[in-house]
Amino acid sequence: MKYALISLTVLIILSGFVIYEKVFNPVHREIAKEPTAFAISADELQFHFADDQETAAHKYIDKVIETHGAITEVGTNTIVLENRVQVYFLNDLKRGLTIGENVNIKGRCVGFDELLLAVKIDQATTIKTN
Amino acid sequence: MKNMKTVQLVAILFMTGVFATHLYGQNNYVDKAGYLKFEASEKLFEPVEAVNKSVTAVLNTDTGEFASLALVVGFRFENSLMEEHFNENYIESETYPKAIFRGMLIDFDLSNLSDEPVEIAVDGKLALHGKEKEVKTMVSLQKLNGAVVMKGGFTVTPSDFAIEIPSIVKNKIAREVLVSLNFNLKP
Repeated sequence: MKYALISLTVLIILSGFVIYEKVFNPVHREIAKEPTAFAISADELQFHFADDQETAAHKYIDKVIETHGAITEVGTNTIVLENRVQVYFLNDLKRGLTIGENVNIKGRCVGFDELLLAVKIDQATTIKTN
Repeated sequence: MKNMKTVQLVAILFMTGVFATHLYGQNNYVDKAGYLKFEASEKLFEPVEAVNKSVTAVLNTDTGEFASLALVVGFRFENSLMEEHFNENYIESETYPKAIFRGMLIDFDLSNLSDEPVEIAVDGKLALHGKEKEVKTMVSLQKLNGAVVMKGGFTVTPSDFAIEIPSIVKNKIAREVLVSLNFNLKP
C-alpha cells in the first residue's frame, strides 16, 4: 500500500515536469522538416517585397520558403542569391558553395532589409545544387 | 495587362539593382551578418534574452553616417514560447517587422583607426514598434584585417517604444533592456 502511494506520488511529480516542459518550454521549430508554404524564385520573392512590403510581410514572414537562384556572394555561413535574397544557414555548410552556382534552399523568411534591398531567410538548409 | 505587369517587374528589378550597386559605390563598410543581443533578465527568474545574427550594418567611412537594421523575427530565444510571446504580444513583429537605427559616429575618421580599440560617440535614432527614440552611446572601434570592428551597447526601456509589459510578468522582465552589438564591417 505504502509502495503504491510512493510510486503514485513519483508518477504525478514526473508527469508534472513533463507537462510543464511541454507547455512552457516546447521545442523550437524545425524548418527543414516543416512543409514548404511557398516555392518561389529568388528574383520573384524580392520583387514581391520591393513592390509592396506590407502585403509581402504578412504573406511571407515566418513562413517556410523554398527558393532558388544563382549565388552572387558567399560569406561565413551565409550566401546571397541573385543579389536579392540573403540566406543564413542553420548549420555550418558541409561543403563550400561557389559564386555562380545555382542552388535550391529551404528556410524561414524573416523579412525585407531596406538597407540591402534584400529579402532575408534564416535557418536555411540546402536542398540541392543544380 | 500582362505586359504591364512585366514592364513593372522589369522596372522594379532594374531600380533595386541600381540602388544595390549605389550602396556599394560609396565608401560603405558593410556587415550583413551582424550580431545583436538584448537582455532584460531579472535575478532568480528565467533569463530573458535573445540573439540576432542576421543584422545588417552599414558605415559610410567618408561621413561617419551609420545605419543598422534588424528584422525582429530574427531574434532567437532559448525558450521558444518566450520567442512566440515576444513576436506576438510584445514587439508585434507581423505589424512592425523591423528595428532600424540611423545615426552618426561623431568625429569619425577612418585613417585614425588601428588595431588598438578607440571609443567613439554615436548619436542617432532607433525606430521600432512604430515609435522612435533618440539613442546616444559609446562604441569601441578598431581596424582588424581591413575590416572595421564595432562593439558596444546601450539601454532602452519597453515604454520608450510603447511596448506594454502585462503586470503578471512585470517582475520577471527587467525595466531596462540592455542591447549589445558586434559588427564586423567590411569594405
